[in-house]
Amino acid sequence: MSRLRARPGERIDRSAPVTFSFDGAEVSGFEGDTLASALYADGRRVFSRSFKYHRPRGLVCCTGQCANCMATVDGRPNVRLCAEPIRAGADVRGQNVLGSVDRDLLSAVDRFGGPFTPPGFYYKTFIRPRRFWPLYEKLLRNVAGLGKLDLHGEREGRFDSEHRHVDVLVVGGGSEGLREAIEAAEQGKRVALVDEGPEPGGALLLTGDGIEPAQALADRARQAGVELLCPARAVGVYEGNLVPIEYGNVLIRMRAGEVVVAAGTVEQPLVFPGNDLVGVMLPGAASRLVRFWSVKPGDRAVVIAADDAGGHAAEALSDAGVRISAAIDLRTRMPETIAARGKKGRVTELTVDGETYACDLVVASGSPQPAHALLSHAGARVEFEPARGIFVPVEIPDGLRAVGAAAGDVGEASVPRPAFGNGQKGKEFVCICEDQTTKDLQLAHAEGYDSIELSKRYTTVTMGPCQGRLCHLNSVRLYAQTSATDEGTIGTTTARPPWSPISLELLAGRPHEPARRTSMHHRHRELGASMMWTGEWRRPYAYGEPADEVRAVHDSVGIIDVSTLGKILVSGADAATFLERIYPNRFGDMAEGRIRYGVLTSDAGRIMDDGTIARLNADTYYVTTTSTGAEAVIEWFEWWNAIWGYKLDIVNVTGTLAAINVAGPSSRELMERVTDLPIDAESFRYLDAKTGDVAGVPSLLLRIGFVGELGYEIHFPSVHGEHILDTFLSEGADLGIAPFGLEPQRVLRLEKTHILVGQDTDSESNLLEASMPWILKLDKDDFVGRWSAELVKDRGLETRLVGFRIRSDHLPEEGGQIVERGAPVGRITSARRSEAAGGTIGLAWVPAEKAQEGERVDVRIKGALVEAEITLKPFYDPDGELLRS
Amino acid sequence: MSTLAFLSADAAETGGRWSPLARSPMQHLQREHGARFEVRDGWELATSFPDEAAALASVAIVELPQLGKLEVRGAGERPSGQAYWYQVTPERALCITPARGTAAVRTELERSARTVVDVSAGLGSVAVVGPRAMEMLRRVTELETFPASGLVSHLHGHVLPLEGGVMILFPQEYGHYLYEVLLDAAVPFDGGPAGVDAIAEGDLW
Repeated sequence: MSRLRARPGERIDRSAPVTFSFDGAEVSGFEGDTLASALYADGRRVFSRSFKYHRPRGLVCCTGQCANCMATVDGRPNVRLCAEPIRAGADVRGQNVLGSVDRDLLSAVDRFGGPFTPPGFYYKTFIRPRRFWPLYEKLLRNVAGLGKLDLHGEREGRFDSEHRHVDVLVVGGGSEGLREAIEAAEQGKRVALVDEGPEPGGALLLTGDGIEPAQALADRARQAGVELLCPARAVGVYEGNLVPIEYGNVLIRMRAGEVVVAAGTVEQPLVFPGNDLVGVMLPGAASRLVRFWSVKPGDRAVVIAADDAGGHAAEALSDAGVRISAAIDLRTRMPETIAARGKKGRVTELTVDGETYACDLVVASGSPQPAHALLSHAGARVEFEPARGIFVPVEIPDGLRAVGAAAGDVGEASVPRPAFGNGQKGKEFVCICEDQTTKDLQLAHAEGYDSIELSKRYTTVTMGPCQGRLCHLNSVRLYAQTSATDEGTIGTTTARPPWSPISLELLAGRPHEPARRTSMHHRHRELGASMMWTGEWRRPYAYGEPADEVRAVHDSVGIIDVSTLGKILVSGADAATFLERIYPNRFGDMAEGRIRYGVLTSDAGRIMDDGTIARLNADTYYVTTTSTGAEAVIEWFEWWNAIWGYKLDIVNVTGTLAAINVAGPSSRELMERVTDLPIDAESFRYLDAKTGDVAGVPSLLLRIGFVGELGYEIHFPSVHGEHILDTFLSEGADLGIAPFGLEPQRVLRLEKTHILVGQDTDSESNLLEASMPWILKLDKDDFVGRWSAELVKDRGLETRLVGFRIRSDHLPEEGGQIVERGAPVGRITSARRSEAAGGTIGLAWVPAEKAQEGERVDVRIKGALVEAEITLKPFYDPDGELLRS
Repeated sequence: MSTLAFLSADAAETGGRWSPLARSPMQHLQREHGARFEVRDGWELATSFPDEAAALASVAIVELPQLGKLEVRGAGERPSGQAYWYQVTPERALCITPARGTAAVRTELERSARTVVDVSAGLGSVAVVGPRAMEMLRRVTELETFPASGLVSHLHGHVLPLEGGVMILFPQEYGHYLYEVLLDAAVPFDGGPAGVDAIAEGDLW
């Protein structure tokens, strides 16, 4: 056990013991511990195994910076135990091991795998015989890596995101950060401060006499109204000073008028053989173990550091009763060589310039690197300062500021050698996350990867879970030494968010899926409809057998919910002129109360959308669009009118109105039962639009038919959807009324060869080749798409959209090929079986010369060629007599 | 019937052969949450929920579907009676009216505005009220100062200030989805649904 007696300022509550398990063994700690501190206090030293070589890894930073203590907690892989609060019953397991973290059978890789695993080894070794690669890949993926995800796991826990706005966001709760926050808050600004620890204080908390001043500053901040977000991590800085903050199970999306980066420094490991042995840690880690959790880090230590952190650690260790074998301040003595040796992966001695010290703890660090990553995300540049051996931020963008150590105010520090191995035996690690050694980087350089960015991609140095915090500076310095140049010339790799790893579940947040439902949605479900997605809309696919619903429409009367149609009011003195100019056909000559079909084309003449346009009065038109097209059509209208400047208003009433289509030979009789409007064929002609009450609800009635039978489309305030549907179903019961869904509607419209924009057309389809020349009114004034339409007319048609019939049960796939002499010459866009048409029918794009009534083409169906007959007329009611009846 | 009367929910027949009842897109979820319903002004309204007092002490989700909403284009003048006026742009405003008060306000507005369209049935309205309403609201929108228009849980909506909270106007076809989202967002705050009677009508204007 390594727990010290109670000490002032410790974070643990000794009256609140907490028990959890590590690899099945029970471990006890206290409330206030992290899982790592409790394990360390319990005598546990090996926390994980390394990424590639499976070398034992112990605590290094004790602040969540590195990957050395990552384990699987309650099934969640890659949890940093040093930053994870203790909790009762937690099931902690070592990861990336075969056996246990203490006895990992895969550690053989460390002894024998080196020659086979140089940088880029997958291009060099494991490549022959080639057919074995799948086997090698599986093996390598099993041997190397981090924790394993449960690919079949369910979402666990609740993760929310929250949007916040402040005037000033301070990142870092050290003395400088707290002072900045207090000053801003006292000026009346809204201020939030983010700190990774449970309490702010930063480096003050690592010194014996700093705890009280830290608490006093934190209290002042609270009194000034600073919102303290602790523990929390700023993940990055995005455009507009958007700073995502990981705050427990909440992702805060903070927008700040000003971001003050007071993130202090990141301690840098020294590079020497054996620098990854268990027991080699950073000064801050040793200080935290003693000061925060009253844990004795070792019995005999060597301290070797480039700045004051070494002194602070030595002081803490002495307080804890640790014997200091040697304390070397690199500012006064710069050794030529350093090397650590150990047994079973744990450090037992450190040799400095030939002098060997027995120890179980090596506290070592180089010059402290300002934590500039967040500033770099926002576009700040960094410059290397040779005198102190660090990168400091310069040219910080407006809206951001760096203060304290993050700005380069790191005090006096020496510049250690890039590596202290100097040919001594043993691996000296530059990147402990990815198991990259000085030898690896030197090899990469020798192979021609002479830029640090290329080296990063080739060796993966800085790409591990610490995101370069502990290896970026050392890798740049080693590259400078290897290249015989300076660090400023080598430069840095690009800093990108996230600065700290963040879980995907936190990024994902709550699992909501926006869905649009019509006001009749729940009635459809009660009627047994199976629902399907069309864009964001939920719509009935069918209520039973689609063929039965088709039959009901042909034989009696069917009703379908078409509320999803886009609905737009265009009103104003210039409404007619506007529509004339934006559509290729004519609307100015329409009588009030009449309807016309319209197809919108782009300025390139391509079909964009279609629908009907009803003239309600001289200055008001009611435009319908496809179900997913309303927003695009409105944008198109507004975009053009921003240029034209016509006097009109465009109002989207898609959701305001629900709509049903009642179709079939009995639809007129049914309509007579629900409205007092004259419904007879003369009073209410095909393509008439009338307003009046339907079942007591004010409605707009359109006599149109997408499904080929006598029909009426009724548009009414959506809040009455259930009432209207219920009324029609009850009033039409004796007529055999049946609700029908999208699938039967698709059969019915295909019988009439009515197109579906987006299914039967694509981004290249134009009106002439889509067999709709009657839409184009080239004798009117200019309109959108006219020039392109004229070009198509002049060059002649190359392809045509036509109907086809197969007189058998064969059903081609939509997207299937039309084939001529073995080569594809066209494609099928829609195909269904139709009882009324007596076989399979569909629409297809074919070469223009094939667009002849009765022409035969071959359709490829499941590899075989099946003959189809082209038709240019609707399959059902070809002359539209039923529609007009 | 006037040209655009077919847009107005409150123009439906009352007391005749059909007596249509207006229903909100949230009604089915409200029923699942144990709401008590009453018919008022042609609407079937959720008037109260079990345990709504606890929700009101933290954050409560109150649907107010019966309110009238008018889309006003051109430089309309604010109506004289009870109404909430939200100037979306210099040329566009939304006017929220009491239930059954829409027709009168519309008539008044038509004297000064270029175009007035009744979008009562197109915009759903739900209030988020209670001491923790603003905390909860941060979980569903990045809007911060109100009134404002923008995304509310991925939907384009309008958020208007209200005594003790806000009112969200949204495309009604998303009502079921939004109600699910709001109730879910209220869970960490021990919030939940409440009926229309939880809000005094006077607090709206």
